[in-house]
Amino acid sequence: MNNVVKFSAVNTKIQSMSGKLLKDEDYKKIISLKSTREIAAYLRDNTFYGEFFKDVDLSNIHRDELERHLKQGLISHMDKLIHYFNGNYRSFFKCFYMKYEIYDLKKAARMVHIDKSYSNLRENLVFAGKYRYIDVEAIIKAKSLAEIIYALEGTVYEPFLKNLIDGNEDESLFRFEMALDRAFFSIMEENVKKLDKRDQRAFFELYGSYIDMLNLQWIYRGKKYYNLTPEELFNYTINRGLKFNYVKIKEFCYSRDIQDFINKTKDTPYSFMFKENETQEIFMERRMNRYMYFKTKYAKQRFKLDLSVVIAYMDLIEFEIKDIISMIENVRYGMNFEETKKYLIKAI
Amino acid sequence: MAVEKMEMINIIGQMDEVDDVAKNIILSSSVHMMNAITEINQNNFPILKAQDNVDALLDFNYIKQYNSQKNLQEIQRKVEGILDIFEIKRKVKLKYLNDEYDFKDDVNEINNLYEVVREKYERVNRLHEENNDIEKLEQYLRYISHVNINLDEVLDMKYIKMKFGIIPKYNVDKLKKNYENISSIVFKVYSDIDIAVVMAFIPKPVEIEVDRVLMSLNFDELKINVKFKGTPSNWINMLNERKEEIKREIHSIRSELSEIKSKNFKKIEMYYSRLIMEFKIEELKSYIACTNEFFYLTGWIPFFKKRNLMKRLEKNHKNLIVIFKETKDLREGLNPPTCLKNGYLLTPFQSIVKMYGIPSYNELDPTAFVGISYMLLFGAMFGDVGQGLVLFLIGEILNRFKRRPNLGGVLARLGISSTIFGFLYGSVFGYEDIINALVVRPMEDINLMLIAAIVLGIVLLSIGYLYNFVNSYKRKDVENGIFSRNGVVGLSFYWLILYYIAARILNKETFLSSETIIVILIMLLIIMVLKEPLANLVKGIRPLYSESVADYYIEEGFGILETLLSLLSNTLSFIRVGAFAINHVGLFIAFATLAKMMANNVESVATMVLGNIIIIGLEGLIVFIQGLRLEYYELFSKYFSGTGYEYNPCCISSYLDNIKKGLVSKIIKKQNTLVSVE
Repeated sequence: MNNVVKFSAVNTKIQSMSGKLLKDEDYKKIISLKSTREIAAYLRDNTFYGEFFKDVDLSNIHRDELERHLKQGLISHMDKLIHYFNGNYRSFFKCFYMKYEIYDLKKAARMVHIDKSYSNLRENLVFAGKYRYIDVEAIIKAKSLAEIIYALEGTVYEPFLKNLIDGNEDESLFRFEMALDRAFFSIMEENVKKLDKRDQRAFFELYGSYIDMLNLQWIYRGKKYYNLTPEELFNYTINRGLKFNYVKIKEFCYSRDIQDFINKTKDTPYSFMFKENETQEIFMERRMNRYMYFKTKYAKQRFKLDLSVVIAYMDLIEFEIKDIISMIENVRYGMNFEETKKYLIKAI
Repeated sequence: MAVEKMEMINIIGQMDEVDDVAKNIILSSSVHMMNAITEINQNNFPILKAQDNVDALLDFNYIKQYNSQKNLQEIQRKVEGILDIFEIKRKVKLKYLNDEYDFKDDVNEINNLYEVVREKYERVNRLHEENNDIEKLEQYLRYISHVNINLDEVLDMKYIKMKFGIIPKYNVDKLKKNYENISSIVFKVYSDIDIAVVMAFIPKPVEIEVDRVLMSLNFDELKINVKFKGTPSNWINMLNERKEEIKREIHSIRSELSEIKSKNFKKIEMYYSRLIMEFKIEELKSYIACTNEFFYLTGWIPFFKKRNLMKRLEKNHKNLIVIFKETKDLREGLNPPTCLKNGYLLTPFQSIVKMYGIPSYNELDPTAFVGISYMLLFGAMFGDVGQGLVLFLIGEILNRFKRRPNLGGVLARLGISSTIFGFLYGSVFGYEDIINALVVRPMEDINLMLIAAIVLGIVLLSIGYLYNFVNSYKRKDVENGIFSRNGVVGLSFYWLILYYIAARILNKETFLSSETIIVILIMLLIIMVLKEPLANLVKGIRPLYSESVADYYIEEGFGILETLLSLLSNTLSFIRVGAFAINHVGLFIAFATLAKMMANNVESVATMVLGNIIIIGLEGLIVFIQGLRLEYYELFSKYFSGTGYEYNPCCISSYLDNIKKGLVSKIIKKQNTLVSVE
């Protein structure tokens, strides 16, 4: 099918849906508010997120609950867009959804592993099990990371995770997350292969950078905090990055120490990740996201008739929701405007 | 043949009797349950009239939804386990349920039986597992069966450890690219699209490091639990011997098991039936409300099942208060479920009505009309003695052997109708020279066929109008029943215009001058435009218009156009009945011609058989669909709203249907969540 036929409708739909994204004004107003409740009320009355919690009593709404409603918004976008695709493109899109499912799994893993809180797992699984079959009931009952992995038996994630079970407890969360990321990208890769050449390129152009950054982050953390062997580091890295081939990745993995590694990244486009000051750790994730934000924004503005617009749009929504959540947190910690700005993905 | 009369039933009884009452209600399979709490909140529960038992009123304020405390999962798991072990079909038999029993005794027996069986069963499972392990190992060994070294020596090497395992394909690349850094020999023995089977030779001092690396490659190691001497092919032989041994042992345990089975077969069936009953009772109880001492149950019961239920309850329970309420005494907005009851001939056609919608309680049941008209239409379109009988047979087979009573029943009846029309048309498997036509041969008098089809259509449509009159009268809907285009005015308009056209075509004198007729027609149209204000005038409702006046007239103005068009199209739509009758013959002629062109008799017979199969399959389907279209679109839209809901009594047999659909798991899940909430 011709790309014009395939994408003109969905791109137009996206164009109209983008009108509902939050403006700078909205951001400023939200930051100036004083409590979760006020933010929720503002979102309800002034933005399209309102439709997901218009019947909810806001008087003592909690951050988690609001977060859930916002994520519901993301799902509803997905549902709207998925109708524009069929065949391989639809299954690609459903696969894309794994990304959010993985967020849920990571969150569940963190709650179980670090917080040891088991009671409200169910509420936090917003995405899981919607398009791909995951036994949510089993995950909810899990009391440890290993049990989560057992609960995922028989799903697409299983082959990537099963070897983590007897690994040592301290690192397993770290590896669990990386293994999930890798599961996402290798399953994605399978699906992307079935698309048109043009769309394959579009996908890797956007997500290639993301893969690069995830790899760098992985190597950095693996080296700094967990002392993994270079072989292990290498084996967990994700294929098909944009800028690095495996030789380069291997070079990173086999760098002598952290300093050596950082020096090696100096002449890459991702040097911003390692600023070598005290903000390096806190902001690494945000910096990665902001890099992706500009990239996706650019892709959306370019408005090419290929997969890039859809993917970019989904990412922009996701970033926006992340931003709203950070703003809610910042409001709770009583940060001022300038301080808050630093934690946002969108540059205002 | 109609919608059954319903009454509301309210039962108040003592909590310790609740299970028995529930059981009796389920066995009588007559009550469509309603949530008692909702009814009580709506003040619909006639508690205040029950003055003869003041105790029931005492703690009425503490009334709450019944919350199940029973945990059936454990026992269910055991019963299911036993059924699986003995490979007994899941079947509920009513005879085990009718006598008095206490499920608690059964639970004990089930536990005992389960304990006896479990040990043996687990042994079988372990053997199966071992068997699987052996098969896996054997498969691996086959990859290296050509190697001629002693495997046991390789495994027992002092400084090098050998491992067998699978690596996913996407990781093989990784391994290759980084092979120079891995301190072991990895040797690929087999690979396909997904995986590669590898042997790794690892020096003992670096075993831990290499293990971790392999693990990060998702290396799935094969644990070798057995030990033999000799080359891989020797190993394979030994493994096969062990496999035989396992087979024998499994067999002997199985025969022991089957002995237990034959001893306990009846009992196991009984446990299962009773277990299902327990589930059903729990389901029913989820509707009831209760206080500490009393329970309150409410539901719908068709009039004709009332006596049966009362007999059951009176026999076993003295202290129940049972109150019936007729529908006319009930609060506004509470609609009873619809229980359709039709004669033997028409029952399957209910499914066709239900596919469109369930009639509401105070609506005529259109099944009779649908059944008769559908049979007429189908027969007229597909009239053939032979093919009709084939359809009848298929229908009966579906009905009796495949348990598809609805589809089978409909097909069988359509087949009969087709056969009858076959005699009228004089056609047997398409051949028209076997019997004489009683009425007409479609192909010979095409005009007659088409005109007859339209006349049939007019009759059916008129009956449709009558149904709408009755339905509107029942609803007291003046607008729809009199003034609308489906009402009295619409019907008068329809007949008058038909009469006028017919008279014109046949060049007959009309009983009124044609100007007068046209004036009357226009008057009728104007009345249709004014339907809402007129209806409101009659009923004395103000304001006259429910929307803005301009909007109303614009809409109705176009409505006139649509009325005229749809009158025309609805009527002409029935031409297809004649057309398909002709088409049916035409298709046969095509195959007959083909058969003539064949070289010998065998081929022509084959062609005719094939032709008949195609005609029955393809044309039968088309005619089936076309008939459905006429029913749904041309007729139902006139008079049928289908906004009711179905009468669905709480009973065991419906539970069995659910099992087929796999709904059991859902119910169990629901209970799971209930338990977890508690």
